[in-house]
Amino acid sequence: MPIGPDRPPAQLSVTVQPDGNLTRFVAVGEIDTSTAEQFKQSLDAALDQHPATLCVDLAGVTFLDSTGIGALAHALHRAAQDHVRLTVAKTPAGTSGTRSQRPADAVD
Amino acid sequence: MVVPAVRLSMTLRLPRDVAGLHLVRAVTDPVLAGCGVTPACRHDIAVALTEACGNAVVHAESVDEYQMSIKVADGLCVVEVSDAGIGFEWDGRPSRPSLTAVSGRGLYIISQYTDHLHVDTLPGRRTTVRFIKKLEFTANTDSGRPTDRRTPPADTGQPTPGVPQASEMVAPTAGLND
Repeated sequence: MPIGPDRPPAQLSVTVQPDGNLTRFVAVGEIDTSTAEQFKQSLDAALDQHPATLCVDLAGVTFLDSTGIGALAHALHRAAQDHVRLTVAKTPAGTSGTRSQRPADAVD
Repeated sequence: MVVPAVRLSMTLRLPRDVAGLHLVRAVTDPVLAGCGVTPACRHDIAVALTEACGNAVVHAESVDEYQMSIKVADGLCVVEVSDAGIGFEWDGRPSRPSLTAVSGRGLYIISQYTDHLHVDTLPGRRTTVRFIKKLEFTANTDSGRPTDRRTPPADTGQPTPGVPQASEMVAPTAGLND
């Protein structure tokens, strides 16, 4: 695979599925410093729609670092201010081991 | 547990941009997998590596590149991430961040995911983050046979089964044991 300036550093795709009072936010890919800002802005955009509940599904996220957790924490603060219930439905696939859940636990 | 007799050292000199973070994982994970390291252990190392390299990318202002070294020997993985950036004040241990902090988790996460963390930083000059992880190996790794063991510094040049060779390995570099 060619590695050059135009190659995306890490891939993250986000789909937002509004369904009445519940909006599902489905992230797939890797979240690190290179994609955390995209993740944060997507969460902000979903919160801008003021759903009653925003359900963040991270089952398709294969990598999540501290910047991704920071983005979730940011969304948690905003959701509290905007009276939106924010839930994290599924933990990343790569963090299913008990030992490896510590970073994600930080936003429980 | 039999510790596979795998020894390797690899150094990457990386541009200080976010694209390199993905590259660090893309390069190191297959090497560790080839050494027979378990997926869970590789994941822990990938997390710690990404945090250390991410810190260099974000905070090492005034430089264009940084260096990452990884060494596997005696059942341990020793990683150093060094930059000649602006450094920072460090009091010797990472503080536990508040549950809802939006930043400041990196070093704490490294300390939780690895067995040893040492930060050497000089404000205005440089930073080296060094961590050590005890490796866990898959049960079916076959590189633990005594006949495979190579004793440094003499290197027989014989490949070890299941270990990435040649293009993925770089001659051991100075600095890891400094």
